[in-house]
Amino acid sequence: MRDVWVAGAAMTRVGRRSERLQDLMAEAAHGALRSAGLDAPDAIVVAAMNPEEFVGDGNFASNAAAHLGFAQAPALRVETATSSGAAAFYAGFALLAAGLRRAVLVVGGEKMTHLATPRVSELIGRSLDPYERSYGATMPALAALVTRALMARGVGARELAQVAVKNHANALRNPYAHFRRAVTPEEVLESRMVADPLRLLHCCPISDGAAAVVLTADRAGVRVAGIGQGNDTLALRHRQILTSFRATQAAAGEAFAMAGFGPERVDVAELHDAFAPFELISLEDLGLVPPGKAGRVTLDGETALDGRLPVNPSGGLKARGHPLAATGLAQIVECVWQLTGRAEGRQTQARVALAQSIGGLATNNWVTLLEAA
Amino acid sequence: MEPVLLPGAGEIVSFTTLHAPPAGFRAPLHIALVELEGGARFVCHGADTRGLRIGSRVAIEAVDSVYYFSHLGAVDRARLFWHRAGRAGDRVSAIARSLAKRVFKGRARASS
Repeated sequence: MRDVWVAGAAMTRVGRRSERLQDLMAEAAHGALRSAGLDAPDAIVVAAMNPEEFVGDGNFASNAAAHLGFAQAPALRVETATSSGAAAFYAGFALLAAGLRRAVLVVGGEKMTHLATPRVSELIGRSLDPYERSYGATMPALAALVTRALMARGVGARELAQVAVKNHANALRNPYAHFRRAVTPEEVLESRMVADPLRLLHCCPISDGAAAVVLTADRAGVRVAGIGQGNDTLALRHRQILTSFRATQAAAGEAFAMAGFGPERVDVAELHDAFAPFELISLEDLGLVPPGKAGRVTLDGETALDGRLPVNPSGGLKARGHPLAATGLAQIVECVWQLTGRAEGRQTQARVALAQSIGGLATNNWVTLLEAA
Repeated sequence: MEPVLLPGAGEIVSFTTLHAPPAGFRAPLHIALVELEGGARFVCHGADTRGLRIGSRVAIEAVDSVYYFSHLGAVDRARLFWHRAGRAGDRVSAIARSLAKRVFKGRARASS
């Protein structure tokens, strides 16, 4: 397997955007190509979770490639629900690792704020098990089942709230973030109940945005050290354990095995905190903190920007925002910026960065390890 | 509409209440994940979650092939086990075990 390098990275500001999805993708893609010093890629991998329903366009690999001005470049689209961006990164990585291409553009984006919230929830909910959906189960509903089980194991309301408080504080330093305002633990604990015990400020927003990277066979500033995929049952009721995600554990196992090092080498991490409790679950699933300690560690500030292991310096899904298929790539963009000293205002000292992306209700998860050259 | 009673009862694995449920459902929508004796897990609707905890014993019934849970108090539990098949001694022992389990449910679930 050949070494794969990240030569360029860029993203749009995340939030409520008036531009078309294709324009958002073009902004991110051309930014990534510029930062890589590349005129045109050999191939393009596009991530979009559901452009057919969100914006009414299909055949989206060709659609995006043509809009980018590379209509004749080989293009393909990858979809694994909310982790589509990370899956597209994997596809691009595989093309280079196999020696099939030498410079691949990976771009992901989603546009959804123009739709009413119930419609967006319904479309995202289609990634869940159809039988559970027939009972009115939505993504927040199933996440709430997970959260209550987590709290029964001793995770406290303060610890959950602190994830949101920390990530909002980080986003305040990120010009690309959806929310650039701080929240207090009290605000989180008093925000509207969405799905008991999950409150509004435990949940990520609905966002528009795009992110892109350029992967090359030629040496660049950041190397892809490891990458792994993990999967689990579509139905939550078919799982014995609710309070950890087998899909993250399996993905982490693959990624660390490829990298040849363990979680102790990770200096900074971008985790999939679509719901605040997911950050705590993920910290333990990835082996970044010992089982049962994620809440304590978070409350003690170890995962804060100035802590031992900064987690979600970008603000995470919670506060940077969650434009679905852009998210997995936006996490990687943040990791690349952290490793190359370009995370102005929120820069950490890092040589190894980890990005973890959750697809659906943890049915199709990815872990990517990046290392500064 | 004729309710169909399923044999056995279950234990709450987790539960939630949706305050803005999807179209076609009325708020508040109570949803629980229930594990039946034998290990099968069901997603159920319910009328209420007051007093409900993880590990609570509930009865499940299907109405028009939708499953509903209802919380069992001590008297309901005794009745449930009294009506099940078996010798009188087994029934009394089932009731006793069920009541004992109710007392220890918090501790038992905390380690799972």
